[in-house]
Amino acid sequence: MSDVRAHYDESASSYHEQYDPDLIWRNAEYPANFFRLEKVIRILEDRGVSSVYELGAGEASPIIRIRERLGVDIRASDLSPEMVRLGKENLARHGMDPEWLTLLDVEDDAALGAEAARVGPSDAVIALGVIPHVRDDDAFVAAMAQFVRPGGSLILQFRNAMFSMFTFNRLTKEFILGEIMASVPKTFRDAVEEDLDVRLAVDKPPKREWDKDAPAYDEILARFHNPFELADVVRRHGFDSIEYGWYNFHPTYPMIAGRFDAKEYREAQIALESDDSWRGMFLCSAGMIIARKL
Amino acid sequence: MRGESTPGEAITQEEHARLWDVEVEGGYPANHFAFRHVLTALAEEGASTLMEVGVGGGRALPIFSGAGLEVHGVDNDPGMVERSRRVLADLGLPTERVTWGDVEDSVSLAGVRRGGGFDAVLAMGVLPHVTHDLVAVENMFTLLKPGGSVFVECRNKLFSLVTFNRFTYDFIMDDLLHDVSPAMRSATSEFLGEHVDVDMPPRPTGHEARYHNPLTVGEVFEAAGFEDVVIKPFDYHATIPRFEKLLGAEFRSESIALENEPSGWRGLFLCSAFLVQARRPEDFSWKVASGE
Repeated sequence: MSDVRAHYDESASSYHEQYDPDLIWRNAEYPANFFRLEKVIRILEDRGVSSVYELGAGEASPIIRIRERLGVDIRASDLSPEMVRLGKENLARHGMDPEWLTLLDVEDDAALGAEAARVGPSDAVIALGVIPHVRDDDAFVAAMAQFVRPGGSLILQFRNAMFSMFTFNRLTKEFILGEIMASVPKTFRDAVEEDLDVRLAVDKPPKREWDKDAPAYDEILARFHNPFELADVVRRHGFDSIEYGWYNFHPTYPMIAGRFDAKEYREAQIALESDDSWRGMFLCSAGMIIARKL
Repeated sequence: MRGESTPGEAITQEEHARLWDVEVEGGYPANHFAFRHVLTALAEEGASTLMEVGVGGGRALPIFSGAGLEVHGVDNDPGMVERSRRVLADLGLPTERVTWGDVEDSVSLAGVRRGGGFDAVLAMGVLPHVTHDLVAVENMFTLLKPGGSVFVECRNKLFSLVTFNRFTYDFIMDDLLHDVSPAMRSATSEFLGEHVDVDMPPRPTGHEARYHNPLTVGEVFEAAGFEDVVIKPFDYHATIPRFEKLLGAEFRSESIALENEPSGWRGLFLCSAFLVQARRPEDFSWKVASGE
């Protein structure tokens, strides 16, 4: 996790910008996480929760907004020392207790158990942007389960592997050959690969380089998850009533987005963010599993 | 399964062997794999009576009769009713068990319902051709006893995401991006025109069968009163369909091997069809509009 920690230490000072409503139109990067947070707040409100624990809380901007909007009790943790340092300042600045945010590595079982025992179970546990960076999905969902009471809610964000079924690029090829057709003979997959190499933009997407002095997002462990398989993991750890929430919509193929005026394209993206239907499974690069603990 | 059985078997060893024979007329034996799901479920439920809606030429009647079920059927084509009756006669069963009826017209099914309902209703190749899904599914509901199960075949819209042809184009334009701006749609259309075979398969001149989305079709069944809705994909394709003829017998055997694929999700993309299995609640009561 050292690369992940370094990445987030480096990006901590600008982390809050993605949640700033005043920057929705000016941020160079699409503010997908702003819309994610809006959906999370709506879900928590609909479920009438009164306490929330967030794993991977960053510098606390999201959890502070959740408390401000819903008036719920909050506790949170993050892997990055710099995020936690800034988060404590952020909490204090908002009149909240800095001790509500703790340094925690979710892959450290002992520390995780101690933190769960210290804070006790909440009505909801959320983890936004965490599971892409962990190596063991089962262990992570089991960890989340420690922070939520029976009948409480889990909100687990993931990078959506199913989006590749829409993108017509390298990720499409990898998903079809490596996942969907994983068990068919190699000769079949070779034929399909030849076909896909002609149809798809297999040289895209290029790697993103957000940061200059630390590993870029695509250079750290940042896995995609298949929503069906991840739902099975969640079920295995004592959750049911599974639903999906989708965000970071794409109104056309990402590779031709550049043909449009940037504002027009962003307007089209934002217009779709209120859609709650199934199609987010293919139009969205990220999603959330929402589930209830048995 | 209880009920009554004909002297025959649901399938003979010779018939089973022919599943792999690409020379046999009729193409890939997809229904065989759908019937595996149905027969397993009916055995678990201890079903004894089965109504096949859209019974057609009666090809499934010997299979279900051979499995010990008392089989009945309806079809909206009088010619098909006659053909199915001949099949029943050959099996030594009462021919009046197949009658004319339209699944979208409950009046035409009144006589069928008079017997008190069936343990199971099967509808292969019906929902792709009906005009009003909910009406058809509600009528199937009324044919069931409380606790009975329905098995309805649908053509799978999500399969279009791996076919890279006209169906891919239609799915993306009509289902995924139907409401984005005209400029976005135009650019998407142009892009797809360059990357998928938009003229394959050729668009039929007459009626084209409808496809259903396995992620949403359950809502129709729930609206009709069903519960415990389960999607069971079948008719696997071991590779992109246009390679089927090229690969011949190898394609057939590998596709059949996939019919046992256990993931629960790959079939949503590799299968051109799926069954919707759902149950009529034991204690269901119709909600009557009060007019208030």
